[in-house]
Order: sequence, then structure tokens, then C-alpha cells
Amino acid sequence: MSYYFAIVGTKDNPIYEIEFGSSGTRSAGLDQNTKKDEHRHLNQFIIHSALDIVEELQWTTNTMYLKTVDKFNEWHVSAFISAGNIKFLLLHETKNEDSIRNFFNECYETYIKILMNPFYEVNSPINSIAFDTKVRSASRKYL
Amino acid sequence: MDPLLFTAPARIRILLVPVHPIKATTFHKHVQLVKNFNVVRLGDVTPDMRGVQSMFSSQLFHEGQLHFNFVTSYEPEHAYLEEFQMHRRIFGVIEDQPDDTKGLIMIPDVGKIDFYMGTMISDFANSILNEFGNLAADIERRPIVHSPKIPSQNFSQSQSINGRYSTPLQSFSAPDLKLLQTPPTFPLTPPVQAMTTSGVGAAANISPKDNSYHSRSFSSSTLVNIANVPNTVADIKLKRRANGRIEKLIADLFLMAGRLPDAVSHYSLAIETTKANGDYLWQGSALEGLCVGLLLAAYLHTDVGPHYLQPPSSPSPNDSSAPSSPESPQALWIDITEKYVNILTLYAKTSGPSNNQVPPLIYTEACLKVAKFLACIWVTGGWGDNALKLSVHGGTPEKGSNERWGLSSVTLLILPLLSKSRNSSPQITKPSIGSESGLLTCLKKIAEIYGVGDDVDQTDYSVIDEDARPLEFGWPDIQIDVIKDALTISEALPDYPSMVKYTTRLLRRLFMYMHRDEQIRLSTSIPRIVGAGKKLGLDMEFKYWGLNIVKGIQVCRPTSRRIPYPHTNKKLSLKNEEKKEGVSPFIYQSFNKKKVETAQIHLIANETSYFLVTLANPFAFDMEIQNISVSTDGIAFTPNSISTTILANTSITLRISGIPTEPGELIVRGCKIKVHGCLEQEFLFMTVIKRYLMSIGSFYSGLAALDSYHKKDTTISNEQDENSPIKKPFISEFLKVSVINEQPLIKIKSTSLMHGAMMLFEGEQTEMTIKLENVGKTPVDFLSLSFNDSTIANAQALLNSDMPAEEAYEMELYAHKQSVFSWNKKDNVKILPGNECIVNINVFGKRGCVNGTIQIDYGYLNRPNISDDEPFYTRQVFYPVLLTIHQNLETISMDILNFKPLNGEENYESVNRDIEDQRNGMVEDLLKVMKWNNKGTKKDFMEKMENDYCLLTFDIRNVWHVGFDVTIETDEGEDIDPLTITTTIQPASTARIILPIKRISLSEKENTQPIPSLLEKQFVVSKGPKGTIEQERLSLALFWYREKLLQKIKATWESSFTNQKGIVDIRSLRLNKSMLNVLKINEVSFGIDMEDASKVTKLSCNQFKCPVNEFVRMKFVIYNNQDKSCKLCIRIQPVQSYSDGIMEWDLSKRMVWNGLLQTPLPKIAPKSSIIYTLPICFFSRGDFKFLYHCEDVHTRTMYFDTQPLIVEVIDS
Repeated sequence: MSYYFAIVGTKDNPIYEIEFGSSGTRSAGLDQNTKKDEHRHLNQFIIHSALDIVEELQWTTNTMYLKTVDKFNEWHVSAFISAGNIKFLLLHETKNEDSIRNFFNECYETYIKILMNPFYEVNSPINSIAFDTKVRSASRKYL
Repeated sequence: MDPLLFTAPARIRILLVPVHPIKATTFHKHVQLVKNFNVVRLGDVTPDMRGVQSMFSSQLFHEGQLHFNFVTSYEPEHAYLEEFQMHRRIFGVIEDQPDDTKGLIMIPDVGKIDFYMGTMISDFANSILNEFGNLAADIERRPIVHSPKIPSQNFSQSQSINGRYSTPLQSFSAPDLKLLQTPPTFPLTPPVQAMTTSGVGAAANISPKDNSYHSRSFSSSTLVNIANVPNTVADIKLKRRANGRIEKLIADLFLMAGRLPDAVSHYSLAIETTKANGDYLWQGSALEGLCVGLLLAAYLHTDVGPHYLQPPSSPSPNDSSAPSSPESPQALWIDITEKYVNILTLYAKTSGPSNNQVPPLIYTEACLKVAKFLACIWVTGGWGDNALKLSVHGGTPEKGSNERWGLSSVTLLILPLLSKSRNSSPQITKPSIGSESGLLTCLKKIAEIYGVGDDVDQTDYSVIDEDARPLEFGWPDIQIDVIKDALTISEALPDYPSMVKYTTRLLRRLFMYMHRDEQIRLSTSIPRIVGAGKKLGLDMEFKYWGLNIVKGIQVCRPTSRRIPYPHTNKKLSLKNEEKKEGVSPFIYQSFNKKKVETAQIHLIANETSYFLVTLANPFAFDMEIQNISVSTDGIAFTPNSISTTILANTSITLRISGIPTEPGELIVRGCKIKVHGCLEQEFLFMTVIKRYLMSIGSFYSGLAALDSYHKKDTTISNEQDENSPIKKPFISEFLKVSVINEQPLIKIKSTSLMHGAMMLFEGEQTEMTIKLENVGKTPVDFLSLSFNDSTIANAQALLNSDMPAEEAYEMELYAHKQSVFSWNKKDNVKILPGNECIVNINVFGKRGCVNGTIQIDYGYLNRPNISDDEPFYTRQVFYPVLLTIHQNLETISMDILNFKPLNGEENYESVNRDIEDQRNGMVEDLLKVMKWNNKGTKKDFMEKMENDYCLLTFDIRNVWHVGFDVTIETDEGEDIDPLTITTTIQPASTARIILPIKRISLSEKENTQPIPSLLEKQFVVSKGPKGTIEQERLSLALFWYREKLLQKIKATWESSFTNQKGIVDIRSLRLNKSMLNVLKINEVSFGIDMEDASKVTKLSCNQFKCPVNEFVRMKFVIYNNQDKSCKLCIRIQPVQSYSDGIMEWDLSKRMVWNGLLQTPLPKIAPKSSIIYTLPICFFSRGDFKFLYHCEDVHTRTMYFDTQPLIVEVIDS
């Protein structure tokens, strides 16, 4: 099970990206790396293309969690949209709405804490290590 | 012709061939002419002799149309597909031959060429249809029909994979050979006078042969295969499948022949058969053909018969006839789309390693075709005749460019696949020209969607003024990917301009997200691309990719001797020049700000000027700059260029020179830089850095934000275009430098000094010379010298500390009034270029001075054609002088003495004999030394001395090892000649100088003025403890009397050995209170006289001899030296003093007097005197002393005489 989580700003710019979960089979090291790299690019493209649907959906509902918005092959894209139009997107393989919702909520809380930092500007990349660890722990907890 | 045309399978491919002596232009003209006849109605086709019996007779289906696809090139790469898709093969050849007299069919020059052409084409079509029959018969005879195989270049590999293609080379080389061989058979065609006729005629004759050739080649390849392949299971399978395949091929031919109903029925058959066999590839292909057939039928509004229609979902024709009929076209496109989905699934099923694998090209084309079909519907605004027409005939949709990209972007959805297929199959190296531009627009649009479209940077890099900044929009990783894809595609096309475009965009926009190696690779690839583009004859130049590396330009301050100093106006500044010596009285001047020299730097015409240019390399690779020079505007400027290398991610500052050739304002626009391998380009530098407007908050998001950026950009650019200065949110300016007229340049050629050093005695006065040479090109007519020395700064520092006013005055005098250097200004200096001029400078040996600077300001003021009001400039030359000052003479221990009573030789009795002796001798000496030109007697002289003079004494010590002649001069002014004493002081000896000095009287007003400050310094309340009023008055008096005294005395020295001369410093002498009392003439002074003169002898001042028991009158003359009248009260106290010093106060028994000893006096007018007379008679002998004083009745000030009055009473 592997996940790819990205927070996308209002200008389609990635604020935060993370991949977690181990991919099932591991082959030779070098091959693995290149494969992973390719995979990462693909993930980004999937997430990026899902933005269109998120933008369409966001005005039709007043919940922040948009559930699964897109599907690409065996991948599902779940979205969560913050009040400030920041999109949380998660790429996952199995549907599990509740845990993903919890995950998103926790990430959102962490994000709000980041946002309250007077030195942080909206739409700028998040480099905080604390944020990273919290997101990771949330992923372990819920995903 | 667009290979992706939906109806391509229904077109008959005809090759147009030029034959030797024809010109390219004529050929193309004819091609265009022939292409007008690409559609022939079946009804128009010349009827065949065999009539309806012929398999592809044109008579059966009159509504049908023949579509010709005239091509001018043949693609042997696709030959392997010819057996699979019939429309890929060339069914006819039309030759184009130059005029010849032997013509089969003559067509007159005049008349309707179109008509004849039409006829010819109809004939031609007929023969083609005939050949179709032959071909069909040929196909039907075949036992096995093979699926297309992608021929691989690697033969051994292909053999190992599939033995059936053991000799693929033969099968494909055979047509080639034949192609070469066949042309010689063409000249059978009788060339005709009119070109068109000849072409058609030729075609009519030749095409059957050509056709047969193809069928031959077709069969031969089949034979080869049969021969080589043994009867295997696969072979049996193939045989089973042959039926369906043959059906499909026949259907293809029907489709091309315009016999839609037949085609549809055959396709349906084929589909059924292939489906039964599991022959997916062929089934798909047949379905495709069916779709085309249905579409064409819809286009022609003919009913192909409902019973022929077989939707793939239900093989039963009757059920599905209604929805797919042309009457309900809405359903048709849905049907077609569904069918295509089916087709694609079928094709996808063949992806296994079986020999029936779908060729990538077929799959891709299928995808693209359906995409394009849908796009056509969309463009024409929905399903309808227009859409049908468009999808049948192709061509450019006639909606705006926006829609056009839509069309192409649909194409692009499958691009990665397409490009992949391109990469994997080397056969498809040359893409069709038509789609190329569409592909490029598509790339553009895709890039735009990801925020890296053409809007993000203007493509014109001729002027570069953009700074590196992170992208405002988008996802960098994806953007990089997208641009890289775009790059790959343009590389495959190959389209060099867009390759350059995308490469530069990557470097320009996203370099900060890229790895160093990648940046290097990209930057090095640009010259390669440009080179390749140039080889193709494209107009391409390699420009630098865009980011501004110029971060700053500054005018370099010239060397100090070249700096021109501006002066506002000739007259004013010349006055200022003189005033300059004085220092402003204010410590802090808020209004009179000193000009900041760095603020404005002037350049000088025709002189090399330097600019400091800061360059920054934001990239991760070293940037080699072949050439960099300053780019300017305004006046003429000759730049010099240099070359350099900027290391990765660093910045450097360069000094770049250039020569402005005329005065005026020079606008520095930036730099012209030639980056290695690129063209020279201008990099702008603005003093006000352009700020980009950021969107407020997150109002827009996603693509809307992107749009808002574009809008903003355009509005900004519009505003700039309109040149409305008000609307501009910021005004950027170039650096402006003023260039002034040519200035002279002077250098100090030589001086009279050795090594710029001087050794002087203290107070020495000497002269030095400086020889100036004008090395510039303009004359010098203004020369001004100013000086500075080391003592000034020191003294200034001391002055700032709190010190008594008189000390401060002394210090100021020392620092500022005694200047080490001085210069006698000369008017009318003129040094022509190349000439020399000698300047004399007086040097003074000032104590404590170690170095000094001579500053020479010069300029060329009286230029022709320049008014006086214009500002002018001067330049400066400095000459430092090292000074060593030795002390040679020292003045010490000053004193001021009264003349004591001078006794004559006759009566001399003094208590202290030795001192008297000494004093006497001194006075005698003095008298001798002084050439006193008083005509009076000794008595008069003594009298004078008594009252008006005092003695000033001081020592001069020689501390040097050479003797000096010292001359002291006192100048009392008035009518008395100055007194001069010269004495030689030997080394290490001391000479005492005694000078008679006229006593000084200073009025109250004079000696109570505050001590002046030479610097006109701002008054600062002194912080030190204030003395009492008396002390203050005293110190003021001391100060003013000393000043007066020093004015009178001048002391100079001279060394006869070395011819040096100078001044002895006498300012080191200080007054004290007692000296002051001697020196000053009191406000009220006394004169005593005794009468009768016959009885009384005056011994000296205030000393009288008087006989006993005689009545004498004692006269007290009281002078009022003040400027005002005063009222005094006199007190007289006579005492008798004994020789042992005892005073007898009670004198009533010894003397009598008539009058009051204490009485007020009448008012004394200023500068006048009164006499108070006291008659006295002494009864007793002995010395009587009279103590007396006056007291001012108002101020209670007491005035004493300098000496007591002593009367020696003797026997008569």
C-alpha cells in the first residue's frame, strides 16, 4: 500500500508533498529508484489533473472533504479543500473514506497551525519538520 | 492529405509523378489542377464495357462517389500495411510530362480544360474500377492472408521471432526494384501538347499496368511466404481465417469504389467471420471500414439498407437498423463512437506476443481518427451535415484559432503514445506536414495550461531586463515534465525553433528546480539545436535565454586627480574660494549641507570613464562571457569590452571602461553581453527595480489565477504602450550620468624639495616651488591653492575639549593663523596644453607640524561660447609634504618691571646696594643701547621713563648647536622710531633681552570685551567653574594687555651660515598680575610735586628732599585716564619711617599741615587732572613717607600710586 499526499496552493503550486507506505515488491536497488522516480512524476500528474475536478466539485458541496474525486487506473484521488482554497489531495489504492477523512482532518489542523505562524506566507512551501512528522504520524494512525 | 482523415480508407491513392524535363513549378501547378478532381460521382464514371457484370461496376450505385487521394510521394515504410488496409496502396500513377508533339489525346489549348480534365478523370476512374475487379479476383483466390508485420531492421531478430518472415527483405525490396524498372515503360504514353491531357492520358494508359504490378508484387510476397512456411498449426489457423480477411479486403475495395451498400455488407460479413475466428485485428479493421462506410452513406444521404447495418453489439441486422439509419444521425455518431471503443478494445486484445499484434500505427490512427471525428462534430457545433462534411473532406475547421487548438489538442491527448510509436518504429521518420503546426500549437496550449505557456515569457530576447524569480503559478515538477515532453516532441518533428523555445524556457523559468547537470546539458544543447536549424536553412540565431545577469551598474569614481568638482557659478565660486579659509561658525549645519561627493559623479568628454558592473550568475554552471561592454543612450559613447567568466551561482563586479565623446547626458541602459556561443544582446539595468504585482491573497485560484496573471500582464503592457505616465505603477529609470566638457589635466612635474620632505627651524620662513605641467588637451586658466597641515587636526581635537578661553584663543591662533604654507595669488594664470608653470609657495616652520598637503585646484573657466553663469568644474592635484621642525630658540621667563627711581651719582643711598647697582648698570646699558632720539635732557628722559615706560625683559635661549642672530624690534607707533636690538646668541647660551616698553592704557571697554574666537565658533556655554567677577576681569585684562604688548614686539632670527631666517616665537610669554600692574596705565594716576622749588630738591620720582621747618606745599596731581569723568575721594596718611623699618604713625609733633588728609575731590573730567595742594611744614628730620590713595565714591574702587611718596627732611 502506498500513498501520495500533496497540498496544493491556490496557484496550482505544490506546498507540500509526501509519499508514504512501502510499495509491495522491491527489486534491484537502482531499478527501484528509477521506477520510483517515474512513479513520483506520474503521481504528480494524476494529482494535477484531479485539480480540475476538485475545482468543479468544491462549489457544489459545503463539506470540506470531497471524498474520492478522481480515478486513474487503480489509483483513487481523494480531496479535501480548506477554507482558504488550499487543496489536500491523497492518492491511494483502496477506498477507505472514514480513515482518509480523519487523516485529512488531522492534516488540516496541522496546516492551520502552520498558517498561524507569522513567518509563514500563504501559498509558500512548507518546510517545517514538525509538520512533516505530524503528517507522517497521522498517516500511520489512519492509513 | 491528412492521414488521420476519418474517411481515408475510402480514398483511392493516386501517385502523381513528374517526368524528367518538367519544372517543379509547372508540376505543382498541375498537381493543384488535378487535385480539383478528387471526387468523382460514380454516375459520371465512364461506363465499363462489361457493364453491370463487372464486380465494381459504377452503374449499380449511382449515388456513390469515388474519392481520389492524389499524392506526390510514396512511403515505402508503410508498404507492409498495404495488404491489410487496401487504401494504403497506390492504385494509379499519373505522369506529368512536358509538351510533346506526339499525343494520344489532344486537348486544345483553349476551351474548358476542366471539362476535358473531368472526362479524363472519369475514364481513369473506370479503368481503376476495372483493375479493382482483377485485384479482388486475385485476393479471392488466395488461400492465406497474413496480418501485417512490422518489418524490423534487425533481420536476425525478426527471423528468430517469426520464421514466416524469413526473407522480408526480398518481399519489400521487390517493389522497390520494380518501381525503378517500371518507369521506362511509362514513355509509352504519348506525350501531348497540353500538359493536362498528357497527364491524364498517361494515367489512363498506365494505371492498369501499375495496378498489375502491385498485384504482382502482392502475390509474389505471398508466394514467398507460402514457400517458406511449413504447414503448421498456425498455418491451418491462418487458412481458416483467410475467409474473413478476404471479405474485409474486398469490402475495402468496395468502399473505395464507392459501392457503399456492398462495402457495408461485405464488412458485416467480414466482422462476423473474424469474430467467429477470434481474429481481433481484422475484426477491428473491418469495423473501422464499416464505420467509414456508414459515415459516407450518411454524408450522401443514401440508405445503405438497414439490413446491412450490423451494430457490433447485436449481429442481428433487423434489431438495430432503426437507430443507425441516416435519418437519425444523432445516433450514428454515438454508434460510431461506440464502435470505435469496441475497435480499440479489439486492438488492445492483440497486444499479446502473437503474430497478429496490431501495428502501433494502426492503433494510433484509430485513436486519433475517432478523436478527430468527435472534434469535428464539436467544432461544427454539433452533429449535422457540416460535421459530416468536415469529417469526410477534412480541412481546417473554420472557427477561431481557439477552436483550432481544441482540435489539435484532442490529437495531442494521444501524443505520448504517438511519440513512443515514433521512437519505436524507425519507419515513421517523416511525419506528415499537415499535422506539424497543429502539434506545435497544441504543445503551446498544453504548456499554457500548466502555467508555462508563451505568456510567461516574451519570446523576443533582444532586450533582457528580467530577473530570476520563482514562478508565480504552477507545479514546478510537472512544468518541467511538460516542457521536457514538449521538447521531446519538437525534437522528433524536428522543429528547431520550438526546441530552442522550450529549452530556453526551461532554463529561464525553472532552472532553480533543476539539477546542475541538467542545466548544463540544456545550455549546451542550444548551440547544437541552432546549428542544426541553420543547416536546414532556418533563420535562427542563438540568443541568450533570458535572465538578466546584470545586477547593478555604477559609475566608477575616477582617481582623485581626475575628479571634477562642480562650482555653480564663476563669480560666486571664486569668492567662495577666498572664503574657504574660514570655517563655518556652526557645529551642525542643517541647511548648508555639504554636497555628497559620491552622489554625483561627472564623466568627462574624451576621457576614459569606468563603470562598475555587477553580474550574477543564477545558474548552476559557469557562464562564459565573451564580451561585455556598457550599452548607452544619449550622447556618443565608445565602449570598450572585456571578457570574463562567472562561476556558478556567484556574482562578480567588473570594471568596464568607455569613452564618452561629447558633453551632455549619458544614459546607461545596461550592458551588451555576448554569452559564449550566443549573439550579443543588451541587458538592461534600471535604477528602480521593476516590481511585479502579486495577486492579492487567494482571490483567484487554479487556472483562474493563471488567467488573472495574463490579464494583469496585458493591462500593464497596454499602459506602457500608451505611454501614460500617471497610470504606471512604477517608473523605472536608467542610470543617468552627466558628461561635462573636456577638462585640463595637470601633473606636478617637479618640486624644489627632495623626496617631498623639508627640514625647518621653528618659525623659519622659506620658499618652495612646484612645477606644474598641463598634460591634458585644454588650457588651464584658473589656479587656486589651498593648504592643510597636520597641526590643524590636532589643535581641533584639543579645542573641542573644555579649555579656558585664552588658551583656546592661543590654540586657535596657532592652528589657523599660522599657516605652514601660503601662496601669493597670481592673476592671469594660463597654462596651455603641454606647457609648464612654476608656483612659489611660502613655507613656515610651525612648531609640531609633521606633514602638510598642498592642494591645487585648477580649471578652464573662460571657455569660448560659455556664459559666466554656467557651472564650471575644477580638478585637484595634491602634493603632500613631509616636514621636520626643529626648535632652535626658546623664549622664557618674561618679566615687566617699573623704572625704579634713578639716583644721580651724587646722592645715592640705598638699602640694598647690590641690587641697585645691578639695576643702575642695566639702565645705563639700556641707555647706551637705545639710540633714544629724545632731544630732551636726562632729566626729561628719566621723567618720561618714570611715567610712560616700563621694562620688558625676557630670556632667549639657543637650544640648537648653531648660533643665531636675533633681532628684536619694538614699535611704539606714533612718531617714535622703532627700536631694534640685534644680538647673537651662541649655542646653548641664553641672552636676556631688556626692552623699554611704553605702558599701555586700555579703556574699560577695550579690556572687558570677551576673548574672541578666531574660528567664529558657535558659542558654547563653558562648562568649567566660573571665577568671581574680579577674576574674570583680571583674566580679560591680562589677555588684552598681552595682546597689545605682543603687537609691539617683533623678534626675528637669522643664521648667517645657512642663510636661514625666521621668527622667534614670543607668544609663549605669559603675563601675570604683577606684570600687568606695571604695564598698564592706571585709570587714575598720581603725580607728586613739592614746592617751593627753591627749597625742595627732587631726587627722583616721588622722592624729595626738603629742609626742616620750612613751609612747603605738597601738590597731588590726580589724573583721570578714564574715558569718563570720575568723582574721587583722596586719603593721605603721612608716616615717619625709621631706618629699622619701624613706622611712626602719630606725627602731630613732627609736622603740621593745613587742610584735610581725607577729602572728596571735585569731579575730574575724562583725560584731565586736578591738583590737590596740601601745605606742610616738617618739624623733625628724617624720612617721611606719605601713603595715599583715591577712592571712587561710586564704585568704591581704590586707586594707588605705584610708589609711596618719600620726603627726606634735612636740616636747611
